[in-house]
Amino acid sequence: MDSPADSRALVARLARGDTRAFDVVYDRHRAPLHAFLVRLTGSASLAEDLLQETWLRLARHSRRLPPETQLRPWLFTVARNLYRSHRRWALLDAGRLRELGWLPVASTPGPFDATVEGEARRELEQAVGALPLDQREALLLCTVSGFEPSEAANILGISAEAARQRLARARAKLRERLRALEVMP
Amino acid sequence: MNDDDMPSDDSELRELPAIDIAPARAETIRRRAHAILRAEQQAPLVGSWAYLYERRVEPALLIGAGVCQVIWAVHGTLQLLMH
Repeated sequence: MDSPADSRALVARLARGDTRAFDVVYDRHRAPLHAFLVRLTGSASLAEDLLQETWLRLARHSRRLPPETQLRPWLFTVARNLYRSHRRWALLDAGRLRELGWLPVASTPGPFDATVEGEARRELEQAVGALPLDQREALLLCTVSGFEPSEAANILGISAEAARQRLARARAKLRERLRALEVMP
Repeated sequence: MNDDDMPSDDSELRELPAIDIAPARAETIRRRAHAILRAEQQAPLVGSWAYLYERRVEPALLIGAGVCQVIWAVHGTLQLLMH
């Protein structure tokens, strides 16, 4: 995790076009950011595309980043906004296809089916994936990605109190779903 | 909310693994990002002027044009009302 001073130094080096500084940031945050996107989108291929666009945006904006930029929250904010933007267009397209009766039934396995070991973890991933988007992103940021609720609130563009409420609702719904899965044979 | 409120699910969530992309794809993204970083450095003046125009000049022109339009409309309406 970046300290503010560390992040400031990296931002200054990125502004000078230092590719080694980029590599430091890239190697440090690539896997957590990818995991966040996979769990947020539920699609491995979409997560990879959004991940790539996030890193290319960092490269494009490297000279214009304010010196006090915290890179980790910045990257998660960009990734999350890219997904939101993608989703708006995808929903429009899906709506149109549904109207025409051309929307195929989704039957492809989820991104965790091949990688997740253990039934409990698979169920947990599925329960997280089934949460409404607002709650899912708050939960992922505050638990899996390790952001404080106030930091998550900045990423989500909402107040800290609203972020805490979303988190509480997400936790309650997750518990409910996991309990239901336990009851099911 | 404090840590005492956290349900037991949280510890499991925090232990969910980070999932990296395939090394070949990771390298492709790295190379493309490096190329962009270098390109950005090679056009410093154009980049900074474009940024200045986009962030300062264009908004100022738009706001100025909007204010002029409002003043013109209000002035015209007042003239009509007075005659």
